[in-house]
Amino acid sequence: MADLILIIMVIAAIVLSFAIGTNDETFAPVVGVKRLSVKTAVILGAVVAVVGSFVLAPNVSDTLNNDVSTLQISAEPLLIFALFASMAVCLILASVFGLPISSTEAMIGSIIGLTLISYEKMIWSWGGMGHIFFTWIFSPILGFVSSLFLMKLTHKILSKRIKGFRNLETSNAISGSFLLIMVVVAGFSRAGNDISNAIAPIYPLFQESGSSIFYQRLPMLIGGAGLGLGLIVIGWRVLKNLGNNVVELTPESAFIVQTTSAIITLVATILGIPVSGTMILVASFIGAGYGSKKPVNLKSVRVITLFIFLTPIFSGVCAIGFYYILRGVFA
Amino acid sequence: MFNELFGRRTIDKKIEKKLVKLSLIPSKYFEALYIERSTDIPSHLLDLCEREERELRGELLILQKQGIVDTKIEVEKYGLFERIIDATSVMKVVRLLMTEYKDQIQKEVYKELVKILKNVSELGRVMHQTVEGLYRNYDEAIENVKKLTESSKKIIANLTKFKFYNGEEVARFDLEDPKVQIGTAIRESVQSMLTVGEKILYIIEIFSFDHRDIL
Repeated sequence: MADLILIIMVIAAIVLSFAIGTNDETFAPVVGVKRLSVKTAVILGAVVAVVGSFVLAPNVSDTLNNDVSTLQISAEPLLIFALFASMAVCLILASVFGLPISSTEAMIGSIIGLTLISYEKMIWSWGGMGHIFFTWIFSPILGFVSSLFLMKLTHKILSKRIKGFRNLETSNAISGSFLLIMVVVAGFSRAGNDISNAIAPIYPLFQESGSSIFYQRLPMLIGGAGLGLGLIVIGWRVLKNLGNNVVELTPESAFIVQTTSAIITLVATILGIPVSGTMILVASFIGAGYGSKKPVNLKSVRVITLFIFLTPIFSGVCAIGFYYILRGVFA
Repeated sequence: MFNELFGRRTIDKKIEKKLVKLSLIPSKYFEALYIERSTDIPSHLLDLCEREERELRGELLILQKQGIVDTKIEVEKYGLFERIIDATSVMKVVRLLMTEYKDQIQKEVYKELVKILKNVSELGRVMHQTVEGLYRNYDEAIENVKKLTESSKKIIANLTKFKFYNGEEVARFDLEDPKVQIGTAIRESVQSMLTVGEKILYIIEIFSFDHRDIL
């Protein structure tokens, strides 16, 4: 039985990594400005995911010991499976429609659902759900305002510097290259962080004392491969939708989008303010669009916003459903 | 994939160089045609120009294929390339018609048409300077488009001489008349150069940061 659970846990980790990969929108700005084709972005993203996951030291200790409810998910394998299955379904479904959603939202929604059926309590204080709600409201506003402001400033600077098409192409090439570097770095660190969620249950099993570093990091490699595969199989839809359909990006505006996201995330991390990477990125796209006076596809924005609201509800319901199904199977 | 990651700027520079070079061909061609027809000494320059045009066209097509031709800039650049190609295609028709109908046109009229070729060559040079200006300085390009418009109006005014009057004393073009046919081909050349200018204005309007609403 223990072996069966281990196998299922590894499979669950791979599936969740795959699901996270399908909804990885990190490379969307480079696709948006056609600096890379969707195909190249997906391949590069997959390589970055595998290398990033393997190289970056894992930080998985707190992942399943959530601080939003009194429920101890790590204590019961069924809860872990239900949580993973629900997150995976949400992420993959959203990705199939090309919609970027926050994996944190999917996770919180699932935890709320599982907390409800386990008769545990939610923690509504700042240390629990309080900061999560703050994140969900604060992140998009911050992303939008910052990229709008930065975009307008960049426009002013560029209007003085760019005299002809040659300048414009040079500026585009420089912005495009910087953008590519930033995206690769972001993808690298994101792979390390995101994989933590997926491999949390199997990670301790590979940490035997005296084993090689390769063996110890094998879960990260498995997770990275899953993430890369997810990006290749379904993730291109999200890149294509966010990169091409929401707003028409120029290399400068894409650079602003990426810079805004990176700076906000970094500053927020230093200050200890919780933010959502996906929400910041999506809001930055829209902010940059308005800042550069490019038409923003409001229909796509409305659909993405709707899904942002629906994700926690849907994932909560899914988690409850999966929990009862798994309990029925393993009972 | 390598080009996507590292080679885009190099391709852009090559496209710029070749596009500017291509835009000079109509001017060189009409200049050579003018000299050939005014001196009656056959010029090999015309064939050289045609070969150069073919080579540049092929090279540009390959280069534009190497870049990704679906960004707005690439699409507009391709549009500009197509319009310059329009101008280079029509110029060959002028040469053909002038060779074919030389003996069917009165000498004075023929001389007048040859004179117009000189003006068209100058117009071609302005078009070339406009393309250069687009890359170097938008203001310079806008000034050149103005020159292009003014000069082309004068040429077209000269071409409208080639009419005949019908029984009701109404001026008409006889489309089968050789001089009208040559005139029409020259007018098409002039118009194709004008559309290059229009395209450049459009490109400036959409890509410049401070030249909005210039059209």
